[in-house]
Amino acid sequence: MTTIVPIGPFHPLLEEPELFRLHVDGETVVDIEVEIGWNHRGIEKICETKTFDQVPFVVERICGICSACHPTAYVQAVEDLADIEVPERALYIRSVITELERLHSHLLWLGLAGHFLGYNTVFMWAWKYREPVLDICEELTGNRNNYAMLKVGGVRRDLDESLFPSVLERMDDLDKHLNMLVGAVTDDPVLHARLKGVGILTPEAARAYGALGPTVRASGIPIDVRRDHPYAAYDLVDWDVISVDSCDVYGRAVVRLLECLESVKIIRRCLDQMRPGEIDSGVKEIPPGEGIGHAEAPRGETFHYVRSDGTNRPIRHKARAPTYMNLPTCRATTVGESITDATIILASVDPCYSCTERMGVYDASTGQKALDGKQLIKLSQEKTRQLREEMGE
Amino acid sequence: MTANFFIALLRFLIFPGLLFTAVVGLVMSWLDRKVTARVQWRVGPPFLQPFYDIVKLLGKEVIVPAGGSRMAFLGAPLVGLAGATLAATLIGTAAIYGGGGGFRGDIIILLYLLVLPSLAVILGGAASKNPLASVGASREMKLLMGYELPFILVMLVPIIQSGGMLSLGNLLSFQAQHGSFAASLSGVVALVAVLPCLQAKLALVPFDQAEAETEIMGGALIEYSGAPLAVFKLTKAMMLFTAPMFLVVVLWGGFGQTLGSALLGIGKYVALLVLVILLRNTNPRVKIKHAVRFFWGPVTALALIAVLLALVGV
Amino acid sequence: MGLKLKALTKSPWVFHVSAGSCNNCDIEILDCLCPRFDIERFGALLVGSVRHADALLVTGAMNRKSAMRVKKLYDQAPKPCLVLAIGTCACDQGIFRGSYALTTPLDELLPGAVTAYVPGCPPKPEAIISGLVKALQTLQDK
Ligand code: SF4
Repeated sequence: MTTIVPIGPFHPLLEEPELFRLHVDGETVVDIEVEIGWNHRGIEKICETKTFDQVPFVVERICGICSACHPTAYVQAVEDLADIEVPERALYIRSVITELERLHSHLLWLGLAGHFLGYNTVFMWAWKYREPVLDICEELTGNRNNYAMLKVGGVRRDLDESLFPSVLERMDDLDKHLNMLVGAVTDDPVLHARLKGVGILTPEAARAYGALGPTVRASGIPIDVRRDHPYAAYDLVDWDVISVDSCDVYGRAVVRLLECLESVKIIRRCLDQMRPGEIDSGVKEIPPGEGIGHAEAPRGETFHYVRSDGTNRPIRHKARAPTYMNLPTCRATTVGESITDATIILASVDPCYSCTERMGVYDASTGQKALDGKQLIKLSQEKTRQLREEMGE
Repeated sequence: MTANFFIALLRFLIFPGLLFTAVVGLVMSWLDRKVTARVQWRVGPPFLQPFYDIVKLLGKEVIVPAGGSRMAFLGAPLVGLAGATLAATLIGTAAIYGGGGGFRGDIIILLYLLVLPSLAVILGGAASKNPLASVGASREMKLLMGYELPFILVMLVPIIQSGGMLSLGNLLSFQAQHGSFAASLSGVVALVAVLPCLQAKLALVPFDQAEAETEIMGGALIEYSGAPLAVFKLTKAMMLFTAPMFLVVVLWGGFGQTLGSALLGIGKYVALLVLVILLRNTNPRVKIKHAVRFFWGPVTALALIAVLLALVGV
Repeated sequence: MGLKLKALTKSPWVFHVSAGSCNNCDIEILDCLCPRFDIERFGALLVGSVRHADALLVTGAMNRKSAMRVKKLYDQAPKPCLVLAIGTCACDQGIFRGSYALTTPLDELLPGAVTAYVPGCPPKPEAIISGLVKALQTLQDK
């Protein structure tokens, strides 16, 4: 007999709404369905109503925790379209911001993973170490998240050099704490028992699903946009791509932790090598054409596509976030495991639903797009009307 | 006869029963949260927090889930509370009045009473008609079957050592004369074996599978609100007092009659509790499968060793 | 002020409803639990079941799908129950206003239920805590 156990849509501490239907037999998962769409906000459509210079603010809000990567990918798409040279200092600044983001994102994940395991001490400690990173973000950019730093052709704000010494000092502290955390994770026998060999994603499956980021790097496939298609300042500084081949949840945790150390390294070097100079190339207009941009978000490769017809707005903007590719791997990883492990396995790809929620409605039998944007709008207005009526207005 | 009845009622309701245990239990649950917070670099809740929580819950709306069984749903928490209260009364009476308190065979009754709170959780979870609550209830059941065996084995140790005494009062006076069981080798082994059982009885990490927030959203208690939830919380707090106390009395010499030995007894209790709290904060939750295997494997083996040691008299 | 009310203001258990947010607000809510801010100092806990909740923290602009859920969750919560709109999105749909996917804003969905609005994108944890405190104060004034 199988029972269906819902996880979500409002589940404590999965910070976003999503619904997994676990079909379980006793405590064993025999099948899994994912239902998304709770977060869909129609961002691509909104972007088409904004000017090129406004869009970064919208894509920043695709996902709060990738709020530097989405704009990076977007501005790179536009720069690709219009063949824009970006000043070197701006490149360094982009790297610093995206790496700070990766740091706090990975620490956040580590904390949540600890919480999923009922290890609240790890949760609290990881988040404690995350605070200084957010402080640095606030000092450098003016906000803890949603930095508003990216701009077509450069960055919006310069970094204040007088802050660098204190930033570097905190990076040293963080380095120490991170090494401590790495030690704690690799030495804890209970964690080994809980995480090793759990949620196996074989390299073949990872390839077949097109998994990205730490998820695939933990399956022994070292792909990383930062190295493979260098952008920002990643080809100007020295760093390593982390990958392990244990293919399990443990591996994903280790990859993320070690990546944090790499991020610290990159930030240090960038601050070190940065020279005073221009930060913006002063783009005036965007010619017709199309362009693409990638960035390695904390969860994997983010991809943006922009088409312009020569006006001041993109005529089409498409964003694809890494979770869109990573989430389906849950079929390969959770089936056959116990429901105790299901949450940590699902969490181990660090799913980010707000990123994923780009949709069209497809008819499952034909694979044809059943509704296009206009019809969707109509439907939506219809529904709003209904809702209003239901609530007695 | 009536006087005796009143005394018994007083003992049950006020001291050392319901009221006293509730107050001490809530204070201890504050201690639990405070120590946890300190370990996690936080400040933690104010002293009166658990009291506020209970009073607040009592004032909230009670919702019975549609399709659930009303009787079982509302009755379950009361069963747990009654069990915890009775157990506390028996243990407290014996601890305070020494040989005079208690009766022959009460230790066996106590073993049953201490199971009631867990049974209540199972009952309540099953009555909620919520898939997550059922998972929680079934986990609680598995866990119960896991730790109950070594727990009972451990209880054999003092009985064997004392030559077959089955009453708390007698066990206490025996310990007063011959020194506490925990001073002997078998006693130490028994204490080590019983510690994880205690952790599981109190439903604390690593054995809190039935209430695992992140896996099954509060588990068996997911549908409870208002007063019944308050009763569950209260029962849980009272168990924080009752269960470690039981061990102190049965294995570790109890409280004695003098002020000094009473303080020592309280010290033992607090030490046991703090150990439990620290264990909870330095371990992740284990899988239910692993938990059961752990209890039936090493813990039971350890308990058996303790029993054998007791049989040969060390 | 009755004892019941006092207890309620001293022990606000919050349930977090994320409805079409960019998840920054949600992360800042979780941050309130963590060592730097530690709302347990005020007795507040994040609970896993809406049945245990005294306050709903709603984030996000709410699309058609999640709006229904939010309404249902509010109905399931035992009363009295506060509702806090966390973040610009929840207050007035912010940057997403006008998108085809969204329906009515939170205060039209739950008329009269929203006790406090905490604007900001995302609001800092300090702001969220201050919002919670102010919402509790309105209870005392009643
Ligand atoms: S208010 Fe801002 S930070 Fe909060 S969910 Fe909306 S876009 Fe994200």
